[in-house]
Amino acid sequence: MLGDPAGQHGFHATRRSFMADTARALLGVSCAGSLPQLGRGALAHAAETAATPGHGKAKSVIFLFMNGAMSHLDTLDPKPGTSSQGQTQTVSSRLPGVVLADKLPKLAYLMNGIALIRSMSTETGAHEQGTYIMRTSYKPLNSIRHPGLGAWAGHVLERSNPNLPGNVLIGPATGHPSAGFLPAALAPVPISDASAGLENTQPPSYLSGKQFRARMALARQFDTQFSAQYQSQLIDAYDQTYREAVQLMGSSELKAFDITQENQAMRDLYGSTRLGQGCLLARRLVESGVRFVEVDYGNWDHHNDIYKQVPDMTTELDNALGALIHDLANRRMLDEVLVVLSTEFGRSPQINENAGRDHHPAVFSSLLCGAGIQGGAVYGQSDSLGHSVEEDAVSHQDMNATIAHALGLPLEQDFIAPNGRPFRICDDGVPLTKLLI
Amino acid sequence: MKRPPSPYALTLLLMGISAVVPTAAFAQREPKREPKRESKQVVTSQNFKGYGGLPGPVKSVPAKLPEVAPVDASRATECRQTAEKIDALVEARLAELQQAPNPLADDYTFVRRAFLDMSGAIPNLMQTNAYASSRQGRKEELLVDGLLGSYGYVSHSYNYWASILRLNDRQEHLPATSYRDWVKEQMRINRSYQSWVYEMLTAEGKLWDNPAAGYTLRDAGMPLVHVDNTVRVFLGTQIGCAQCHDHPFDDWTQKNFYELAAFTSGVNTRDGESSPAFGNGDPIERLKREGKQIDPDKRLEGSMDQMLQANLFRVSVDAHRQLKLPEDYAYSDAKPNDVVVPQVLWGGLPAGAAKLSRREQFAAWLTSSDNPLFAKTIANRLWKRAMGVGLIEPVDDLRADSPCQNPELLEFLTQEMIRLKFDQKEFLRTLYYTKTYRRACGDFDPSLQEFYNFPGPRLRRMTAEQIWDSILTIAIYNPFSYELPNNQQLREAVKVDMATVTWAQAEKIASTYDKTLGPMARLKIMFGSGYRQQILARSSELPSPLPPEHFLRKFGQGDRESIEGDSTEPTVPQILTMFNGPFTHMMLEDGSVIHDNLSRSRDARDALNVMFLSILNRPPTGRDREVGLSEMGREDAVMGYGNVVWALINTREFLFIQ
Repeated sequence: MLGDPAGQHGFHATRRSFMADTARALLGVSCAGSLPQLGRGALAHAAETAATPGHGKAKSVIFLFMNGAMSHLDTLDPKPGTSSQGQTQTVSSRLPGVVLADKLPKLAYLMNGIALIRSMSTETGAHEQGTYIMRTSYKPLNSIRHPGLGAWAGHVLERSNPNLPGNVLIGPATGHPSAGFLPAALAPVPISDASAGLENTQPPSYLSGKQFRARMALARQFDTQFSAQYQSQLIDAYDQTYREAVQLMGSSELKAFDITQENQAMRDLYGSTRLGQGCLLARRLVESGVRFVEVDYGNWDHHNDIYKQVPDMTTELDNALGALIHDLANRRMLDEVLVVLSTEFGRSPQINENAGRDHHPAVFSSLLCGAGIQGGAVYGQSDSLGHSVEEDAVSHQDMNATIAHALGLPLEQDFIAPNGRPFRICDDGVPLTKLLI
Repeated sequence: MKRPPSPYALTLLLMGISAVVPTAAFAQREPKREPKRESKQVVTSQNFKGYGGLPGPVKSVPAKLPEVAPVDASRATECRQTAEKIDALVEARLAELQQAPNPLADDYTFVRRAFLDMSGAIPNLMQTNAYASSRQGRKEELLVDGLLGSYGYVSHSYNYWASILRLNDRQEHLPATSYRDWVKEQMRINRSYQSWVYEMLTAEGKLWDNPAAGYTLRDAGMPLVHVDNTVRVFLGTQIGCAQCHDHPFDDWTQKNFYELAAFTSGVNTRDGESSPAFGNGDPIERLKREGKQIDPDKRLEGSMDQMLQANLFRVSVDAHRQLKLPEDYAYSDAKPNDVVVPQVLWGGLPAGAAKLSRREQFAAWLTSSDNPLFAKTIANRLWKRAMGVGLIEPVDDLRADSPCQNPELLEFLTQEMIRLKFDQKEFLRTLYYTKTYRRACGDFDPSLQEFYNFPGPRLRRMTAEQIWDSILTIAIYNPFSYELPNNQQLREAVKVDMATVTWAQAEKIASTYDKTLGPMARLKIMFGSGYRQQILARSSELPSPLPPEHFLRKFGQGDRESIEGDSTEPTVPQILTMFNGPFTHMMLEDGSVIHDNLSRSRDARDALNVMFLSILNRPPTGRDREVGLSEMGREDAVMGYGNVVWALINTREFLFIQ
């Protein structure tokens, strides 16, 4: 059944077979034994095995952004039996001694393919700034906007599919720096609703395709005089973009944006939620050669009544991310697709007076899975209450450097922005080489 | 189809929509046109049922727009003479380079350019025709004068400054709609630039008591960044690097930065919970306790929290607080944590400033006519606004060694700005009176050439706002039917006395907040002026920043996070929006301006003229006519008309200002 194209395999698999399929596909062996916890020293030899392990292994990245600051304590780094636990129960993962929130049974099962990072930390507890640093590796400045990794990848690497945009953002794009100081054409193409797909690619319903082409031809003819009159880079750029837009509209590859092409069982597998459908769309896109897809999901900003909302959201996350990893693995794509889950910062170990948790940048969690990443690993640790980093602090810059490294981007290179200043793709971030294989 | 709003509406159209063109100057009789019977449904395809029609409020001409400070007609000669001097300086430089100036632009090109540059949108059909057919002497000058006195000028100038000031009217916890109104008001009354900048730099108090405080509140909690922004925007000087270390390739040291920042060191932007202003201790905690007493489940959240937080924002000055060097100060000219003595970057404090507060001293120095960079920066900026490129680029980085295309001209413009007492409108008027501005435009490639030499203005893509507002001009009669909450409404929805407010009072105000600023308010707006989820109102009337999926953002309007963070570059979603989005289809709706004008056309040839003049503001060329008429003469003529309109909106020509 493995590797069956979508639609043939019914995906009415029981939970057990879902897990087993995925585990085999993930690791190439069935139920691989657990790996030692990765930390400073634990796998020191790993870095020596190749000059640049993991470099360029990821052809695509799917970045799941948990918007609003996801509580690490109620998801990836629970602290059972402590004052930080709250109402969250835990489930054992397939890594001995590693537990997750009980609403994450699928991820717990898939832990052999996942690298958990429990020592993320950042310098700000403000959403806008935190999100900006997460996306760009830089603090927001008034003078310049920095590009995110999707734009950088488009800038440095050839597009894998010239018919499709290389950078897509699924969900509300508020606060995204767009292409930063790179050309606007590298900005992520926004998809506000995964089920609706790419906006405005269909001519109005009253027009046939033939009529649309006639309109295009007319516009071109009316433009003759103007085009002949000026030699302008910007007009040339517009010509080029018009061609791309027309090409995209007429392209059969547009269906990559259309999740209704998937059968209902597949859509159900991901969950009929915004996140689930976003992940499904992300999978379709990377399958068609889109380099970088960000899927936003939130709001995780649970200052009030955290346990009224977090369990359901965590379940949605488990279903969507579990399905995504499973599906990618089944399609033998996980070797080339890097899946990342991150958030701007964590939430406080103390439950506040409104039964919520407040902002907490000192420590939080992320995860990596797929291309170039050592699965079955836990990198870094928070302290016993989940308050601070105990071991191996990882910054957003380091996280981005790890992703950029997997994409094969040059981390040491200086790029000169239009203001004449040099920037590196991930500032001073250092890839987590111990997680790279 | 409804009848067009009667020929009488045309007069209203000309006078009302953009009470821009002095109608007397361009009076001409409209030929009486009997609408042909078969011209009904000219645009609408049989298949195109429309998207539910245009909302009522946008379909009639606004009764009255705010009055705008007019230019002084008696100063036209003076203005013309200055313009000639500017032309001479431009032409002298061109002659040195053995480059000929471009010929004058034709009437159609000029009227379109002038409307876009001065009032932010293309002229409508009537205005285009009126200008082109006018035989009035010096009609260019009359047009310039009329446009600078129109409300479009206020709207367009607001957009210009909103981008520079990173105007954010939905800052977290601080709905700053009264600040944006205040900026607009400065444009409307054409207050001296020197004077409104000074007011922004020194304003204290709460937003609704003193909207100019919005400038400092924009950077609430970031005092050093605020100094950096201020110097960059108004003095074209970038000292931001020196906040952390000596400037890498300019002369600014970290000490310079701190010395300058020391002028503003006592400025607070938010009253802390323990502020003596509240008398009664932390008001938020007090309210939370009160809420719990009423009902243990009561939470301070949502609108009520937002509303109370907004009341904490206030610009106040602690005259005694001193700025210290940072702990990691590493240079030998001072020690870490040393108290910094305020010191300006160049020159000295203006005479009489000694008795002012530190903050006022800073503002007085910055905005002084004797501060060489204050006038020079705005002169260069406004030159760019008119001509498309600054004499020095970038306009916010004027270093001593910055290459300047024409130093004599920049010096002349700087002195002119001072002579005009920083009257932005009169300064722009002078630039728009030049022959240089009236010439056919040119283009240049900054990667190949260092300078553009101004044989005419530079070819530009319209700004996002100009595109949006131009499409509105083609489609609707009233782009001002929607207004964000004004200062009075804001005050009613937010202001409480934090020292004494009770839970019950706070709850009551919070419900007003909901109605005025909350999600329900948005829904109501959509119901009124919305068309397919977009508010059909001038860009200057829409919230700032807009969400990323908005038409304006797709076309490059900035997110108001970085200074002038706008873009005019193409993207695929932008083009797709133009092709297929609802916004570009609204002009095909019954009751749109162009639809009404077409329904009055005599025949296909006349209709084609209407389309070209309404959208590209020029008549069709012979070839255009051939192609267009053949399209309109198809079997499905209705579709043919729609196709031509659509095609014209989707030309490159439409997007560019020639």
